[in-house]
Amino acid sequence: MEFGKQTRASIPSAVALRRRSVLAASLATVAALWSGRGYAVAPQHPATDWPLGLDPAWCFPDRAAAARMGQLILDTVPGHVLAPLPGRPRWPRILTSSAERKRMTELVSRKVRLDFSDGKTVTVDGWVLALTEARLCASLARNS
Amino acid sequence: MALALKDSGLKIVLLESGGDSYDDAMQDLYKGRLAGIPTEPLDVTRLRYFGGTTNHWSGWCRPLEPVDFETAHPWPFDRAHLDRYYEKAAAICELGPARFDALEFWQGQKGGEALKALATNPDKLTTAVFQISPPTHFGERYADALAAAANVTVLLDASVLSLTPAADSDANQRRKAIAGVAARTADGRRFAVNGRVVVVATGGLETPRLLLQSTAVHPAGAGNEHDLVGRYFQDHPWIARSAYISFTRPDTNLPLYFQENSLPGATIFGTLASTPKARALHDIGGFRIWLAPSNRSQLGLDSARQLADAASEGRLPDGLWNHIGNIFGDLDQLADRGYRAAFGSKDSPFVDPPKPDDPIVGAWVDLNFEQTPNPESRVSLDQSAGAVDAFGQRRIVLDWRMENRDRRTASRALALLAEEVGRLGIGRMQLLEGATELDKRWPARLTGSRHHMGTARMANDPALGVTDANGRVHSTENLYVCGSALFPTSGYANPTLTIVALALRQAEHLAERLTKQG
Repeated sequence: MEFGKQTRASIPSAVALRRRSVLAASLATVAALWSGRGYAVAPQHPATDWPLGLDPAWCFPDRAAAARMGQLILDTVPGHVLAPLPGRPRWPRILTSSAERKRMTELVSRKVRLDFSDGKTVTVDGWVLALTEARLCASLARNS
Repeated sequence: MALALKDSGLKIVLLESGGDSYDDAMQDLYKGRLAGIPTEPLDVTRLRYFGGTTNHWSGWCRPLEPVDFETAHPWPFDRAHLDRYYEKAAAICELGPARFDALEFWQGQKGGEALKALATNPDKLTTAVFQISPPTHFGERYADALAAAANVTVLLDASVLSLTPAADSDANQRRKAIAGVAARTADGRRFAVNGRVVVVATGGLETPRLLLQSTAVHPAGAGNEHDLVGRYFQDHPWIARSAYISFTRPDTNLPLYFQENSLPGATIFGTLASTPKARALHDIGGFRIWLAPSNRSQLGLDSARQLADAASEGRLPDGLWNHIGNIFGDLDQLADRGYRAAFGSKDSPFVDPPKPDDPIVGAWVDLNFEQTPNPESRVSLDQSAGAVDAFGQRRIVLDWRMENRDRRTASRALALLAEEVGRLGIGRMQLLEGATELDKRWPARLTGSRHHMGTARMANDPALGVTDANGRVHSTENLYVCGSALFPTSGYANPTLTIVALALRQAEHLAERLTKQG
């Protein structure tokens, strides 16, 4: 898959993402993993390097903000950049222990850092997001 | 240069067009026309009195990078050759030791302990430390030293109109010579000053103007046999507020990058800058990025918008109490925004200017970058009717141009910063208006940095540059150019320190040459 290096899209200012939304929807991803909600864990998808069991809905403390951002991403970022989006978990196992949550936290955090490091970003309303967090939000919007 | 030659035994006459202070009539001589990318008016970007443009210099100093000397437009020497001149130049500019990027050195100074650099990927971004001069206003600072130099005569109100050819020099000769200069006072008295050598040190705009007006030396202008005088004009394009970084943690402080840091004997300021590897990988020029801290919280405004959005959809937003808390916390910001929107005012009674102890919630990103030398970016004489100054001299037209590579430099610089901000977990970056379309058009707020360079550039080959490695005009035996007009490339550093270093190097060359000749 060829990721869009700095794929850009312009959207009407009326639906522009707010800083609060972006921070809530993206920066809080990792923090949310510690928030005591349930998490699923599974091996990574061989094609997408994506943890299959991770339901994006569980990652965001502010699901509405994440979903709004996700919808904008779906509307403006070419589909091939995001595809294949992670779907709902096929065989989720609820993460209950802090060790498992820590592992998932590190996994997502590392993936986001790697995206930035590799230049795998998408730009929506000027915000430069890691592909992973963009996919999380887009998936949430698609499935909500 | 004159001071560096004060013990050489050479007799030096320094001609200054202006007086010892600002004068509207003299400043008017600097007016000209802009034909290319809009930038500041030409009589605003420089000053025409003793000490010249250093009279409004901001004082930022840093040497050029080694890579700046080795591009497709090479300098005739490498950076290492200039190192010892940079050390002397630092003293003249009243800086601390010329140890710009030795951060551990600055951290070891009293008050420097907190100056931590971001752990950026050295393939993408690096921390480039600038030193800030007091700033040194050269005329004021060195007037007494010049007055005390027995071999230096300073003439104020002496505007040079043109260069005059030597009696035995012919425009068709391959190697020409000049006798001196024709000059005048403000009240119209004309006079000539002759010398064994003439050094034109009038900046990146006035240098080509003077050379092009000197048609008695050559019909196309002194040194213009290859139609190069005035070409390759460069400035440092500057896009203020090109992006905004929202910090993950609401009180992120990066003092190295956020402020002038006064240490014993020096003041330093950190920027994020290009690396040689990134430049080569992406085929881009150099750049540096300022981070300006922002302590205006956006939380209340954003929460209010989200509440309004949710209400319009007939639902309650997630984290309702958090939103309400944000709004109460930022009521003053909301009132400020409402007042300014309602009354079209820039200020409001609800918000005081930011205080130093307000928490820092983000940073504005100012981008300053190197443009590719471009022969179509040029200074020429304005041939329009009436385009003459009070002395009857043709004014100039500045046709400032950039090319696709420069768009790439600007957009990659911001992309690299966004990637590093995300990778380091500092926050997320938003490209602001205009910065999202750098590949199509320049934002309206792009301007220059008052750094006029390249218009009489050095090159070993006369077909590629007006001047040689010593700044001597290739075609003229005894005519030199001093200053940023000599720069083949411009890097991302402010030019003054390099201008001074080059002047010191040229002074050495002239002392040796003229002393040998006896």
